[in-house]
Amino acid sequence: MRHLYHRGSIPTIQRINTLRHALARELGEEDEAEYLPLQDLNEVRVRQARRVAFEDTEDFSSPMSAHAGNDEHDSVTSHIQDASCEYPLEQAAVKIVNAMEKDNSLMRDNPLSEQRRLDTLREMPESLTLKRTIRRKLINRVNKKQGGSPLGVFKQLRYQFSMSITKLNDLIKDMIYSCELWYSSIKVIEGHYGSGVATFFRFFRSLFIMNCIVFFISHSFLVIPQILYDHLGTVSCNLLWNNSSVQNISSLNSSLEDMIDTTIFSDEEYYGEQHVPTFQCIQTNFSIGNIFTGEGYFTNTSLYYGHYSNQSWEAIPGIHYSFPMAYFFTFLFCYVFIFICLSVSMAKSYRKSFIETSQGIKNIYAHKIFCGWDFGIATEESAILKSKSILNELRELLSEDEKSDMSQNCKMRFHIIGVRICVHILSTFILIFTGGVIWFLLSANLGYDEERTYQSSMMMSLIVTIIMMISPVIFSWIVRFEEYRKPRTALYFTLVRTFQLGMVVISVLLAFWLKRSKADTQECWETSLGQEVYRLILVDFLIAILGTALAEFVRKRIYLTLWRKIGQPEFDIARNTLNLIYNETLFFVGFFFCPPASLIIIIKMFITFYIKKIGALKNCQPSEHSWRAAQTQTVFLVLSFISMLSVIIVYGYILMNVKASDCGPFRGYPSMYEMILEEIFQLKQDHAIIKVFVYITKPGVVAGILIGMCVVVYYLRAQSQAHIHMVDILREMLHLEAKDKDFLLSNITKVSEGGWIYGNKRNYDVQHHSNKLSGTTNSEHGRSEGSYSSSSSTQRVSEWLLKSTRSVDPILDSSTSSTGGDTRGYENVLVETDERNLSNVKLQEAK
Amino acid sequence: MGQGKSQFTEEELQDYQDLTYFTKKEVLYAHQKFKALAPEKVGHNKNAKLPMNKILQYPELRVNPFGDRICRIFSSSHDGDCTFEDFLDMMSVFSDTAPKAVKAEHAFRIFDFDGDDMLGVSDLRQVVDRLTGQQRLSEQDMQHLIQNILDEADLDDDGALSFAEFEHIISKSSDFANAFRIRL
Repeated sequence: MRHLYHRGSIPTIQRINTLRHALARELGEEDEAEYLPLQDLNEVRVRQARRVAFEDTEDFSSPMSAHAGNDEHDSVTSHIQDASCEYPLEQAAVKIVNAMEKDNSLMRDNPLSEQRRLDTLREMPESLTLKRTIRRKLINRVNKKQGGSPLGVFKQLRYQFSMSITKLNDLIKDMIYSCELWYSSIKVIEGHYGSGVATFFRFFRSLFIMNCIVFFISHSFLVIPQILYDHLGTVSCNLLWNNSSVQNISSLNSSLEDMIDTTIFSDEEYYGEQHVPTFQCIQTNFSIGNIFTGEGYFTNTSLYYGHYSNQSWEAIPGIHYSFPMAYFFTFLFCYVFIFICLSVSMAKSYRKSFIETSQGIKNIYAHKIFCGWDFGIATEESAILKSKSILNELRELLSEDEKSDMSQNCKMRFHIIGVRICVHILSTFILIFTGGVIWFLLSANLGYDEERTYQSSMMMSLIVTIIMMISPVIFSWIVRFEEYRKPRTALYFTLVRTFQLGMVVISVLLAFWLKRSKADTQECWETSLGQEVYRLILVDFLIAILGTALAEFVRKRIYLTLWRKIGQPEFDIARNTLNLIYNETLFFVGFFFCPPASLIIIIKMFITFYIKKIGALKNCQPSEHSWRAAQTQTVFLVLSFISMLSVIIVYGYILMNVKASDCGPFRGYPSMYEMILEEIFQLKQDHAIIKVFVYITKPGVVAGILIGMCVVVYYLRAQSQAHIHMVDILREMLHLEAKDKDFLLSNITKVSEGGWIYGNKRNYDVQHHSNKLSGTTNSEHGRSEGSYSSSSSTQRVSEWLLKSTRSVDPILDSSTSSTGGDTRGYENVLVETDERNLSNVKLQEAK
Repeated sequence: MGQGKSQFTEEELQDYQDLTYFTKKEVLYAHQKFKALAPEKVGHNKNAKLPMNKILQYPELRVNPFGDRICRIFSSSHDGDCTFEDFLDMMSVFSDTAPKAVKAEHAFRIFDFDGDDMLGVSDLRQVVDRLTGQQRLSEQDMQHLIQNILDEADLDDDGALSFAEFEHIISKSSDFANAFRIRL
């Protein structure tokens, strides 16, 4: 057991030990270097050189700093100052350069080595002025060393390549920097709230940029060609629908080649007369209400899937633009793009905040102290709030620590478990209820356009949005009764419940329309689903975002003028982020059936950003609880990845199994998949690809791949388990070594004391007394020495040690030549093993 | 930014870009910020030395409980007064792109009040006191807290955290890189 109060009450002795360790570390480093990998070796050498240089310059810098204190604001004197500090600066630089020169890999005259030189310099904790001096010197030395040794052609090419890569990297960084969106806004918010809220806004921005790219792709390849086709292709509405029905009849044996060959005009000739009304093509007049419902006038525009042509268009003679192909490949590309973006960022963030730091969860206190302050905070107000919240959290942690000793009694535990079960049932009930309501409303709203009123169309989306707004509040309210010990558990439960709700809404929506698609109706279910999503996105904007902003504004006014008790609204990161994810999921779902949704979503997000920003800065106040940004952000990324993945699975199902209805680019085929297969057959006559595809999808091969993956996962897991075990063993060893070291160090103190002031009787007593105790445990050592800490001799020892950290050898030699040599020997060995163990532990954990 | 450009030669900018974690544009932007702290002085001499109280007017540093420590650590004359190069160095270490190890090294020096290359009990005490602001933890809580920290972090049981131990703790924290950051 390690307890501070054994040692904490005796600062003097401890300080001696501390100083000694610092000293020992310095001495030990030279030898230690051999055990480190190359990069660390550089670091150690440079560190050492830095320290030596620093000590030498210290004597020069002290008069200079006094000088700086006198002089106020004169640029001329500062020049003189620069000149006066030239000398120590040069000296320090020379020392470091000498140290760096020992490493050959740093001193070669090629770009790679130069890169390494720069990296080493960059990581050196020295002032920039010194670094620049060092750099100049290094360049000189390198040039002197290898005056124009010729490089091989291949090497030269390689270096040129790596150089240009570096340059390109810099250029890209520069570009990103100069067009970083909303930089100053986010910076202001970060100054106000700290990094937690800023993380939300950054997440928002990255989704926005992703959507912008998707918007760009979908519009340039699909929406705009379709609009041009509508206007320039001289195809009337009637004809479009006619074609569809005709194709429906004749499509069974007509391949795409025929479709490509028959241009629109020939179509007109052949099928102009045949009129089979399958889907009503009434260009309804536009009315304001249509904007909200997305029906009426919009039903048959390029807003929805149903309108897209299944033709190929010969805009430029000789080049055919096939809309079905465009539709398919555009969406394939968009979804793959989104999928890759999300999975890469999720994997990165997961790795950073969970895998690499998996063992850090135990170090709660150290993290609270060392990572407690958010350096991004820039306003007085939030700084005070931050101090307060740190203080409160520390108190909470400490009191919890004491509480945990007391075991809860049985009755309490039963009570809590009962409450938790009730809450789980309640939240499940809310989910089922929401699902039921949506299903009911959707069924009630069936029928054709004309029969529907605006109210009935809007009903579903209004109610769903209101449920989505209220239930997070309910969820975060009921979680209080569950009395989870960690606030983070409670947060995660609320998050998961809210996320589930969003998923229920979307899955019921999809399930309903997929079920409809099975039923043999004439309507275009894809368009209807697109309309539903359109309404949800729009209503969510009107109610959830504008409404919340308004509510916050009103609450703030009430707080300021009427009623202080109501409290200022807080910026709830979790709720905001979940709303964002819900929106994004809606977009993923609706995008395929409503391609311009990408435009709508980016307009919406753009406005939302400013609303949220103003709301955050003017109306809200920072939350009193600190926000563990890194981990929670990973959770958000995981949630959006899950939603994306499930949407993709649903699309896979739609693609393979669901019958395409008589509208849109895939009309006339049993399923989209078959149409795509035919395209591929058309494109490439060789069947090799198909064969490979069929072979890969054989059950045997799939099972083999799966088993192989399982084996790899098992192996990696076993390996990591072994690493964890090894870390424990090494830690144990470190403890034992530390005990040995303490024991030996205290003996050294005694011996050197005795040698130094030999005649002092009292000191002899100390030694005598300690020798008796030498067999006892570590902490008792500390205490026995502590009782003598006030004695003058010990103080002198501390002074002596303080001096000896600067320059060891002379004092050790002058005082006790024999023990001095021993001291160095001991400490060398001890520190060497100690640090090596620590680095071993680190290496193991890194794996 | 055009005005800022005239103050630096291309060579200087290249030097700054190579030796910090900034691009040239960011260097110029940093100089704008530096200039805003004392416009006339920096206007005369782009690398003028500003006294610590001027540097502490930078918003993030003003409210930071370790503001003076930061200035001292980065000041090339070790008294808290910073030239532009010192300031640039500071911002580069606090920037997004600086690696964790570099940040940890500087954080260690910031927290090491007595400069003995170890975070001892007195250092930890000062860190906690500065963090909590005007209100203080009670003496008992403080002792308890420091003991807990040492229990967690002090691997070799010597009552103080060496740099190796500190770095070890920091490398296990996912929030450190987020927290130890000042955007330009």
